[in-house]
Amino acid sequence: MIRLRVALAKGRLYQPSVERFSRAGAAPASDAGRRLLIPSSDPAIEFLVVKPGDVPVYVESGAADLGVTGTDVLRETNADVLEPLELGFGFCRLVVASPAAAPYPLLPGGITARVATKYPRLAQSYFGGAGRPVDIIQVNGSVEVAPLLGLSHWIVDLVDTGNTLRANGLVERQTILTCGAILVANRASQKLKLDAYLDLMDRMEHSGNGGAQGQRISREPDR
Amino acid sequence: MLRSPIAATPPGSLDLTGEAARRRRRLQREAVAVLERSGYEELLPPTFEYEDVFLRAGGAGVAERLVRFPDRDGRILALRYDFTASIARVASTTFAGANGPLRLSYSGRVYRQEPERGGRPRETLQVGAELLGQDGLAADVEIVRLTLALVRSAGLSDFQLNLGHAGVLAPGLGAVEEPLRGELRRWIDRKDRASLCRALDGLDGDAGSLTLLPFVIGRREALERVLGAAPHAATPGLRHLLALDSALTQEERSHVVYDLGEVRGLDYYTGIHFEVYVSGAGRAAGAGGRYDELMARFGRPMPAVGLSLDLDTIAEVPE
Repeated sequence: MIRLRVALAKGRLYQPSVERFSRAGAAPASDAGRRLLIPSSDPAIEFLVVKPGDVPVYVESGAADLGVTGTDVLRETNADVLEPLELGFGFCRLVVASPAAAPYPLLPGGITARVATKYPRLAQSYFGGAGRPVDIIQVNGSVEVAPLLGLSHWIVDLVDTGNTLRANGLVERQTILTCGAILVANRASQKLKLDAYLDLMDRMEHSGNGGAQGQRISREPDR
Repeated sequence: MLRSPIAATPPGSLDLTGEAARRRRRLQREAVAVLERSGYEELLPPTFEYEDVFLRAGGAGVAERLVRFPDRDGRILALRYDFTASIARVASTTFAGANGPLRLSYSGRVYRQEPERGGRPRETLQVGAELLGQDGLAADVEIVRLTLALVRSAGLSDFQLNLGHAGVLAPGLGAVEEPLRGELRRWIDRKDRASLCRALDGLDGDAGSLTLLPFVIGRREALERVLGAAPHAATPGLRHLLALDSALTQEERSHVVYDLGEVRGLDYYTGIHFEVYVSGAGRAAGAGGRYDELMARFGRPMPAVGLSLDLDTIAEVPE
């Protein structure tokens, strides 16, 4: 009988999540095809795969009992969920970047900086907290070309190696958040399905992060 | 004149029709009948009050969630944020001369801003009760029992009450200074044990108990197991929960889970506190507890314990 439904994010967190759950004895079926709900090697656990930005809302609403998400998405959505476990993969940084050739942080002529980002809430709270007025422009992709195309002066975006930034002539100016994958849980289901929750949590904790060197992530945005 | 489509209602407001309306009315009727039978007198407070009433009862945290508007004389009014504030005001004025405990009940809507959350409801149908002027175990048991009876009257069988006591984590939290205390509370609230253990590593004494106590959840045995390891100052709270457990019937006990990890409302509750969870609902469907310091803020110090149920959440549970 299915006890717990776990939301996994498509994209960069997907494969490490599958490996981590497999080590904990709940390997998602590999022949899932286009099914929305994927059974696992543990009959009590099934998975659903959604867009990364949607994991927190699935878990907060209770449509999924648990989920794997990045701290970037979690803080941006401000979802009210439990955060019992850092998973030890998916490390990256949310940074402010701007063209290497342009002055930073002050623009000439007292111009208010326009900032393109997929993270309007975190960007607003960062610049607001620092007392630096900016115009936030929300975009849904290709953030790093926004300065080249004249849409914005700066960007706030997720960086892993920094190669994409460099290729577009941008340099990192400040880190807002050090991100990593995190296991989140619905508040009500943790209480109503306590035994299943504690059992899975125990297996996840003891199956470790596969020898990967655990990096510290910041749970709260820097000011 | 600004024209908007006739169909538009503000975000967070809803028209309820058909079965949605009938089910809420039915739930309300059943609940009110239970409250009447239990000796609770219904109070119909105004839908709006001076904002001060709600701020006085709920503290500064309530401020950003009030739905406010100016009165004709410029004073600020707020739609009813909760019933407890109005009941406290009435108990300290209209009923100031009453002898003995007051048993008051209510049903109706409360209005709360949902910051940054477009579309979440800003009004909620509640039903609830307050028992004022009586402290001690008997009053706590009465409210827990009443809560269980109300949830049962909604036709639900798969539900539980997660019950804690404000005095259990207080010694540990009191042993550290701000801002660490605020961070510890946030980690406890998120069940983030790793961050909690990192921050408390090397600290012993009462603060060290915070790596253990917030994760205690279970039946009576869970409380008994932790009694020996808890700080001395936390034992009265634990013993109170054990005494409450002994006072319940077998059937009532089957719906109660002791949960020492709830930190929301710790600034408000002074004794037992609980949340109601219903199978099929992704959030709590009710809450309550003891708040013995509330009435003093209205100039009439006396003990108080109460409960409220969120009938909208219950009405959305598949039948």
